[in-house]
Amino acid sequence: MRGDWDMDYGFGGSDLPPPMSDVVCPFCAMTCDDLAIARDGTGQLRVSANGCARARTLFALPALPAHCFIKGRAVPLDEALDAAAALLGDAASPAIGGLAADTEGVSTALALAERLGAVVDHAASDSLFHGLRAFQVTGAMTATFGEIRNRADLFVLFGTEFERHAPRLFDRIVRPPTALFRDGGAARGFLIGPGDGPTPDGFERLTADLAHAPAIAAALSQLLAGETPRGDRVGGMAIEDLARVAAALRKARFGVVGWIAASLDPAAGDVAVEAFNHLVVTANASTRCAGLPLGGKGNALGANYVCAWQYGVPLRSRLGAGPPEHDPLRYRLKSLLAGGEVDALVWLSALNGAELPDTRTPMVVLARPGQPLPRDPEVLIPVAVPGLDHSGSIHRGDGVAALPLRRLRTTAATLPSAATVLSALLGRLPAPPLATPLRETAHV
Amino acid sequence: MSDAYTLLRGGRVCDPTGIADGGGLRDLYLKDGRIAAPPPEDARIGDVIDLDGRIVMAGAIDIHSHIGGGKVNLARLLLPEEHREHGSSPDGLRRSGSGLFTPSSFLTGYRYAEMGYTAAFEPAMLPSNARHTHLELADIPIIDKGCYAVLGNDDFLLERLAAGATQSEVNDYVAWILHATQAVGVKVVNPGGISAFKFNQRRLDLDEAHPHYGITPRRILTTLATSLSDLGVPHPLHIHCNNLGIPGNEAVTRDTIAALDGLPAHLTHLQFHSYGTEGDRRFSSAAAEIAEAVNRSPNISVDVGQIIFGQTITASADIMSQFRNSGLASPRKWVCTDIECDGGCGLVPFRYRDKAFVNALQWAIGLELFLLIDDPWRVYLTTDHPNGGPFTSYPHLIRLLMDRSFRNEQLARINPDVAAHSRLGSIGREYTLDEIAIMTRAGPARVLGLRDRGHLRPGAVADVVVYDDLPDREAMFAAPAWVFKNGRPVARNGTLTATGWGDTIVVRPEFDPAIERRLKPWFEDHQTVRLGNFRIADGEIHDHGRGGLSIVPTLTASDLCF
Repeated sequence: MRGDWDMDYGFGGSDLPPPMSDVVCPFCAMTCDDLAIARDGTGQLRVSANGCARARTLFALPALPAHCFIKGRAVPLDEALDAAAALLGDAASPAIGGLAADTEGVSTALALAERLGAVVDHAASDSLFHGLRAFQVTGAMTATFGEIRNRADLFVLFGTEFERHAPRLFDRIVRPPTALFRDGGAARGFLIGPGDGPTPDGFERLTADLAHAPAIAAALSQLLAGETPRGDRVGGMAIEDLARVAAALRKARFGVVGWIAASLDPAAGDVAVEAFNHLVVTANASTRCAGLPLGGKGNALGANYVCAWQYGVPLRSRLGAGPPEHDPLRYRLKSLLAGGEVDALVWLSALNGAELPDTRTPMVVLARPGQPLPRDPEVLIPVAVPGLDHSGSIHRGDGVAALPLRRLRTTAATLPSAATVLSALLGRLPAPPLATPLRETAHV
Repeated sequence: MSDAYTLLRGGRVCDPTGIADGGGLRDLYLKDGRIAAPPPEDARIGDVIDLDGRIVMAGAIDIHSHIGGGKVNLARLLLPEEHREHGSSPDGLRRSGSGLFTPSSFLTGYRYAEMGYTAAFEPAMLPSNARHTHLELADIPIIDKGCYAVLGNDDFLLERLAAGATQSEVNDYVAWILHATQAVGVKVVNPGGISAFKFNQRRLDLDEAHPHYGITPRRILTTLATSLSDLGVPHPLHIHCNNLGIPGNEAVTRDTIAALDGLPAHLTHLQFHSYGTEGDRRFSSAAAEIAEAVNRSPNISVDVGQIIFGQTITASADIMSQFRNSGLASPRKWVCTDIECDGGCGLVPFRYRDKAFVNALQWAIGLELFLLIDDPWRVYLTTDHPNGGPFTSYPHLIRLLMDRSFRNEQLARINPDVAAHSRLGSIGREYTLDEIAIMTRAGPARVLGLRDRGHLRPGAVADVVVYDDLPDREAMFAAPAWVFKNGRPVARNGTLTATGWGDTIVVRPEFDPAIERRLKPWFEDHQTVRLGNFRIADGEIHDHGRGGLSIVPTLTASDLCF
């Protein structure tokens, strides 16, 4: 059974991959596409090669037949959709959050938001907006995974828990088995952050408090530019250590300054990213260097991209109530929910990484089976997992590659995709009035 | 299918490839989305629209406009201020959106259609960004669209050229890329230079060896141009020359034309590549010399990349040039990205000022090129949107070309030194309506191989635009009386009346699929996406109910080549 897995797959070649190799993993922003997946007689999936621990767990979750619920009472899909449409139709200040879905799921959620006049935000947007707010102020100088894999000869990485936030980063990108312009196995660099976990070969761990990341990066920029920072320690780091990092960046042919966005100071992550960017630009005066933001789940970057191309604005915007209105502070969904400023919430969680918010706000939840629920929402509609149950696309976290998702399993009770459910919901809302009557055939 | 014809009665049909009718009035019949031959007497005529002598042209085609893909989208994210100032609400027909020079996808389709444009081509799709680009283009309504895949800085090609690959191997690779990325052409951007920047080289001339591969931009250019010719791809190599924006770059532009030695090629945004070094400021117009070189070279077509005064953003794969220009960013923020052993992306916001000598001279250089290149079949109307200005300024640009007194009024308003340093004021030429129809319709269609677009002969796609013949050509071209896409009315008096989805236009030359045996290990050993995931299936484009695929036939020996 090949299903839509191999639609048009036959073009050009004799040695195509068998159907269950080169599978794209949708469960974090690394978006590895080299997984091998085995499937047993019941349709149960298992990662048989190349996945991380998270992929092994999430691919193996059973595709449960699941019911829709209204306040904990099992109902058919139509009844759940009617209840959801009624709840949303009455809302004055609706919002759509989570947005952990494939391109089509996000796109349909945004269309629904536009119809409702709703605020849109992603579950993981705090980390996303560290980078985005810095980008809006200064821009960026970056490189993608493929360029770094082949070229980077020095890594300066800020953060902790690389295995959790960027699994397989070291195996695939930092110390790849093969590289074009460097010795892949001999990567060297520095890990800057709290804690003292294991340190990969060729790397040196420098303990620092990342609340001071902006000062540390600024001191490195000064040292690169030939200036001397004041004092003998910055952010818990000795100036001599910083001087070694700066010298390494200057000597590198292609250095990388990377950071785990989730490890940065929640209140000032954007300031840190601005400082990292300034460091990268400073290094490029004489050699090559690039920034590399890391981390993210639930297609956060992809959701932001779709919003940007369809509406011209990023997430944390209000759509449909006039022109798209973006405000990274005012339309942060967590703050709106905490302030009781939302009267109906749609939560989209077809992928991992979008835990339900702890709120009493009436909620329509579209969730993958197995999503933990802190309470019974007003309406719960289970949806299929993109890349396991249906095809689609997803963006990788470094911002250039979008990858294809394919259907890997079919079960007797196949759940609808998020896009299907959201379209049905849109269809139940009253059509918007046409602004002006059309007189296109005045001369007939 | 419908058995009724739509009759557009009594228009002045301006179709340079059609029947010469001496400027008299003609009827046009539309049926099933196509232009139909006049039907028999007893045929059923549905809608009849009296055109009362209005001007009728085919739908306009924009051959070079950055309308979607990774760098355009980053440009939107870089400039929230632009989108705050230029937003629009949903109105029941139109989705909402924002942006003036980086408009959101829905607005892009609406604005093109309202201006009478029915196709636009995204000229800089990095193969590694192809899926993203097509996802964005799928959200541009009404118009047809297509993409040129960017090659010439991709490490696979450079490595194979350095290793002595045969022309036939390169041809197979180029054809494979066209299929895999669903493209309709190939663009080369600063050949070799984007890659050289990754090795910390800051400039690369046409005959300078690449710092790692040892091959020259000349070799990359001629190999790719030969490939497209050998493969019978109608659109010849789309070339963004080396040294964009650098005073004196006219030499490398003329050398590029000479290097092509008769091979068909399209030189894009020529204005940015026509600079001399004369005068006190060491910056001068070389438009006359470049126009002369184009006039002498029937194998060459060009688009101009006219600048329009005001705020915009420059968006280019040419990260080498964009990094060099980053100090000019206004507002002061910019983006440079090295991408996937494939290419790059550079974004530098910029405000063209009419009182600044350099910008004012750029404006004059673009107009000189339009007016000094003799053959309208080989020069096309572009602003290199958004690099020179937004595509919505085309009606203004058409007026500058058609109305000498208006042009000279504008010339009198800008930096006064320009009039002294440019021959623009002395050029009397005014474009005719026929010439505008060629440079915005028939010419782009021909150079793209679009046999059923750009004209109004029976069988053509019924993309039809009706204009009031106003003396103010800007007003005329900004708000056509009617626009039909695939035979359906979509805009009236410059305002959208209906929406829908156009096709994605692609080309599919034959090739030896054995090239995948070399590519598969390359993807596994050196890329971060597997070959099977890099390739875009047809279903990814046509399964969403947002337009289909339209395949441009390749050229055969009997076809008229450039």
